[in-house]
This record gives sequence, C-alpha cells and structure tokens, in this order.
Amino acid sequence: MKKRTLVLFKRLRLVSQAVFLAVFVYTFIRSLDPFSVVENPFLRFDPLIFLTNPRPDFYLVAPIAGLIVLTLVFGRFFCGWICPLGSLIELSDSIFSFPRKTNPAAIHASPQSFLVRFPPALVVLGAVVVSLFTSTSLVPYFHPNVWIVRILSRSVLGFAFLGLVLLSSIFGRRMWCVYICPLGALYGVLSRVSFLRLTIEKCSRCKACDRCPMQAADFRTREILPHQCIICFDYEKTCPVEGFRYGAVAKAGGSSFDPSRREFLVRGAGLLGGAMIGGVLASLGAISGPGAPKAGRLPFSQGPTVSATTLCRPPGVVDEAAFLRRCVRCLHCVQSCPNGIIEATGLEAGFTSLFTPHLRFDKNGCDYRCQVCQLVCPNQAIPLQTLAQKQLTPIGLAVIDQKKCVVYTDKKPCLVCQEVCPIPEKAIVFAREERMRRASGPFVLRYPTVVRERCIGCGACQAVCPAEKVAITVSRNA
Amino acid sequence: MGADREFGIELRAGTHYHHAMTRREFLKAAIASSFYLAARRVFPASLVTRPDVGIAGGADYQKAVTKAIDLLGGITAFVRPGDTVVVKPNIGWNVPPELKATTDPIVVRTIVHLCFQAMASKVYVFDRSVANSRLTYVTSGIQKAAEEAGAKVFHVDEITDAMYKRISIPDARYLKESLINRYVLESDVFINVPIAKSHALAGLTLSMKNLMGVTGDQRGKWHWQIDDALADINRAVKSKLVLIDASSVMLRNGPTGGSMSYLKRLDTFIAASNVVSADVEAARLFGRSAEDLPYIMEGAKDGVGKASGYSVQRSSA
Repeated sequence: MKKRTLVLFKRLRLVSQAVFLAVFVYTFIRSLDPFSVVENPFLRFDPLIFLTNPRPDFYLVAPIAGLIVLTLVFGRFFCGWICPLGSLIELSDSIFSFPRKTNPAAIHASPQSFLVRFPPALVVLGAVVVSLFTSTSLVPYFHPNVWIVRILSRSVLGFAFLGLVLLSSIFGRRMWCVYICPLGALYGVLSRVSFLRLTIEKCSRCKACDRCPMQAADFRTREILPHQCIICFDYEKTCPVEGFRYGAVAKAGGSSFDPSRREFLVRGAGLLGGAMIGGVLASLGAISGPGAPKAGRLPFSQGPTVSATTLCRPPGVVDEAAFLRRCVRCLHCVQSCPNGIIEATGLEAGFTSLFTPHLRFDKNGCDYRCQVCQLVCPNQAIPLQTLAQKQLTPIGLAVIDQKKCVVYTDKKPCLVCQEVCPIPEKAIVFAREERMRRASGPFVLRYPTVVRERCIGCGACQAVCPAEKVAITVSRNA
Repeated sequence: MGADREFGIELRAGTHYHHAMTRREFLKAAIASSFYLAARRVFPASLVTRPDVGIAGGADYQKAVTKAIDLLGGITAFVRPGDTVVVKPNIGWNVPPELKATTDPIVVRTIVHLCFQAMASKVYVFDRSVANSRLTYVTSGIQKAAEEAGAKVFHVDEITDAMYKRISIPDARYLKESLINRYVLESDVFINVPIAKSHALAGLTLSMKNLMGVTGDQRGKWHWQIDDALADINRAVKSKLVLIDASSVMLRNGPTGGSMSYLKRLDTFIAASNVVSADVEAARLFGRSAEDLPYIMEGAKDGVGKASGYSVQRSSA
C-alpha cells in the first residue's frame, strides 16, 4: 500500500474515533433532557447486548448484522475505528506513554505469548455468553461501552473503572482490549476468517512492530494475529521497509492448517472453560443475597421464574426474570429520570440485582406522563410501551397505614395523597365522611383509602405525605 | 393606556358626528370634555369608578382576557411604566393544556404582552410546581408562551436564601411565618393567574389557593388547616391583579384531572382587583357560594377582599 494512502487511512481512523466518541457523549448529554430522548446507539446496536434480548426488529438486527459482515470483510476494525472505550484507552495510552516507557514493571508481552494468542478475553466471552441463558448476565460487568456510560454518569463505579484504565496505561497499551474485552474477543473470533487481512511481506527483522499496541505483529514468524489486529494503520512510520500489506488473503495452504487446528482447539477450550466459569458464577449469584429471586436456573429447565424481590422496578417492568436478564446495568435510566427517583441497587437484593435500577419515592413519584426511562433503555429491559399502556401497568401498590395517617389518628383534614394522585378517576377515594366542627366552622372529614384496582403504584402520594412518619407507602407484591 | 384609549375614543366620537353638530352641541361637548380632562389631571384615577370584578367571555382567549382587564380600567391601572411584574400562573401538574389542570398558555402570554404594553421593565413567570417543574413548564406550554412574549421564566424549586425570604405574618391564624419568594416580595406588581378547578380538600382551587406556589415552605402540612393558611398567605402577599382562567373548568377529580369528560367549557375570564371577590365570582360558575368555601370567608374576615357588596361589570361579547 502506498504511503500516502496509509497516512490517509490513519487520519480517517482518528477522525472516525473522534466522531464516534463525540456521538457517544452527545447522546448521553441529550438523554438527560426529558424532552429530547435519544437512545445510545453503541448499546443498542451491539451483538453481545442484542443476545441478552434478541427480538426480530429489522432496524435493530440490520445494523448488528452489518457490523458482523463488516468484521468478516475487514477484520476487527470496531475496536480501532468505533469503540469509544478503545478511543479513550488509546488517549490514555498516549498521555501515559512516558511513565510507561520508564516503568520497569511495564508488560512487554510478545505476540508469541500464550496470553496474547489465547487471551483471557476468550474465557470472559465464554462466561458472558453462557450467563446470557441464566438469570445473572455477566454482560453488564464486561461490556466496554456500558462502562463509558457509568463514567459519564460520574458514578463511583465509573470513576473506579476509569482509574483502572488510566493505571493500566502505565503498564501497557490497550491492556483491556488485548486481554479482557469480550466484545473485542467476539470480533476477534470473527476476524479469524475475515476476507481482508494485514500480512507481513517484507521484513528486516528490526523488531519495530513489537510496538504494536495490540501485540498482533510477530516479526519472528512473519505473522499477524488476525484476532488481535484492529486495522489501525499506525505502522506506516514504524516499518522501515514498508513491508506490511493489507488486502485479500491468499487461501491457506496445507502447511498452515495444523497450527490453526491446534489453535482452534485451545481457543475452544478457553471458551468452554469460560462457559463453565460463567455457569458457576451465575448459579452462585442466583443463590446469594436474601432478596435474590429463585431463578438462576436455565430458562428451559424450569417453568416460570417468580421473583421474590420487593424492589419497585421502573415503569413497565412486569417480568422480573426477563428484566434481570436484559438489564445491562448501564444506569442510563438512573441518569435520565427527570424526577430523580431511579436508584442503582447495591448488594442488598443479592448479586442478581446488583446495579439494577429500582425506584425510591421519598422525594418524588413516577410521573404519570413520563416515559423517559423506557425510551433511553438501550435494551428494552424497561419495555417501551405506549403511554396508555404505561399508565395502566402497575409498578407497585400504595397502602395507607391507618396508625400513621393523621386523618385516622388525629382527625386532621388531610387529603394531600388524594390531591396528587394522577389517576384520572383517582385511586385514592374516601372510605367514609364525618361532619366535624372547629373554630372556623363546620367541615367534612374524609378518610382516604386506596382502590387496589386503580392504583398503579406511581408513588406520588408517598412523596408528598405530610405525616411525621410517612403513612402511605408503595411496595411491590404488597 | 386605558386613559389614553378613552381619550382617543372621545375624540373619534366627536369627529364622527362633526357634520351633524350644531354650535350649541359643539360648545357643550367642548366644555364637558375640557372639564373632564381637567378633572382627570387633578384626580387621575379616583374620579373614575372602577368595578372590583370584570367578567368577559369569548372563544378568543386573548381578546377575552384583554377585555376582562379593560373592564377594571385596563392593565395601566395596575402596571406602571418601569414596573417589575410577577405573573403567577398555575403550572402545578405535568398535564397537557387541553386537560385544563394548568393555566392556559394563551392566557399567560396575553397577560405578559399586556404588561409589556404598559411598559413593564421585567415580567417574571414561575410556579413552584407540585410535579417536576422541568416537566410541567414544558408540558403545560406556559414556558414557551411566556418566553415568546418576552417574560423571564425560571424554576423556583430549590429552597435557597437567594430565592426565598422568611417573613413573619402578624396576627396570623396559622402561618406565623412563611418563606416567600423574593421575586414576589420585591417586584412592584403581583398578578395572580390561576385556573379554576375542583379540589377535594379545599372545595375549589382558585386565586387564593394559587398562592401555594409562592411559598418555599413544606406545603403538605398547610392542608391540615388550609382555610387559615390560605387566609394568612393572602394577607401577606397581595395580588394586585387577579385573572381567573375559567375557559374550561374542571368539575371533579381535580386538581390533577386527566380527562376531557371532567371539563365544562365556559370561555369565561374573571379579572379582579382582589382575590376574595374573584374567588366568589369564580365559585358561582361552579354553582357554589362563598359560604361553601371556608377559606374565602376567612379571607374576607381578615380583610383580604370583599366577599359580598363588590361591584361587577360584565362584557357580553
């Protein structure tokens, strides 16, 4: 390839990375405005996330299929050209290039290293794929772009991850991409059979390509590891003899068959091992924690899995098991909820519910006409409903504690819960009325009560209850 | 502007009949008008008796609102050049305008327009919504309408010292002291623009109850003594001009509503110079008397306004 073309491609790649990173940040910022909701395309059009909630939607399947076809043609281009986390890591790598070069503990793995040829990412990928079929998906913890949302959300978790990324730059380049990323591993597996590949044609054995951030080029065997090569075109300055060629690969002869077969076996073993680890982790997660659902089993092995959780989920979530499988814990809904009532769950409901969203009605209720969480959810873990459906789907049920409600305890006229109830025909009605007198004259005391059939558990009443100890609370499975 | 308009009408009436005018008529008219103009200069407003309440109707909200205020002497009777004005609509709920849980945006826009025609220096529009104001301001259409008319619209949900000031209310029945919005306290004119709706606890929510939106207090507990609380807050914050939006009134399941079937179309607007008289007139549209609504009577007792014996002027068109 001509040098000028190489430079052009390299610049194009930088532009592409900048554009996609900007798109990511832009969609995130837009998602904070309740009246201009845009979905995050990086989480929506993603093969791994798609597997957690496969649905026959052409506009969803087509872009993902497109990504896979492009990978089968060009190789693992996603990581070098699109992936926002990849771009972020590259940025961090260049910032920390000096400390890395002077760091005696820096990792100088070579393409011949076992960890590069058969990266742990394959194990992660295996574990992630198996966990898709259990209640405890591992996708949320290993998906690169979910982490970016968490970083942009300025969550503690996100900053911890960012810290790890920055730290890893001191020890080596693209460490996440080479060793851990399951999405990269997936594209890597696909690019084993890609049509276009990078090959070494001439070599002066200068070892310059040891600088490859993905450690994909091995001058000793004149081999490029296709599952690690991210088509970065950064080699133009590096190679003194301009010995690289990117193009259609010749049909593999008999000589290269044996090693690839052996590699296939090792790779398969890695995936299988990961699968087993995934299965074990998933079952461990399912039985841990007091509020963990009795799921954790494979969906085809048992009947309907009934959740034992009492957490109020975002509106529209009815099937708890499906929700747990689909939720990628990206916390987009937590960030976008205009009422700020969606919170990330900690370990209190078990590992299965870790980082899933739940509702708190201390300060606000779920607005009757708001669907922001449903719209931003990239995976429809919070199902996208029509507004009319949403207004009929219960989140929970409000219950009045007559020992706390001031109407029952002190005969004070208070109907704040009834006032704010957004159900048109009001889910809070009057159990009975009583004629009373006080200094300013007669008045009618009305005792509030909840109509179970009407209440959708939006929590507006709980948020405004003026009693010292809140007398009306919403809970699930009440 | 009201006075100028009357002046203009006098002149135009004169020119219109010019060809038919005899000398005697001319002299009469000239003397009468010179007396009138002289009197206006000496006793600018006191000579002209204004009604306490003006009621106008019509499907064109902009015209009807302007007409209702004109019956009280026009906006210039309330807003003077250079004044800062707070327009306080009901933006309490995240409900689209056609369901009439919030003041109609056209009404708000019209009033902001009128204020600027009277050469107000600044017009502020806000409400401390019950629902999330980031949603209510947009859904109600009020933010857009008011900003298009040139008003400054902002959120007052954060209870800060910069936004609210604690005042004490002497001889209060319930609210000995209250946090009141500084813009309300420090502006020259406070215009109260509620929408008339049903309300289970208070009976109806009209202009007196609209003042729930100028406080920074925990409003929940007010409801335990709502009649006293409303009388107190209305004594502390005077509404110089009231305009009740009764274009379509919510007859039941207020104040949130949520169905067109709860609404009754009246195409009516009530302007008033005090909240009590305004609320009494608005209550009559629901077929209720002031005696049904204790907070109105308490307000009248406290001298906030007249619950009876006030003057009303209606415009048929």
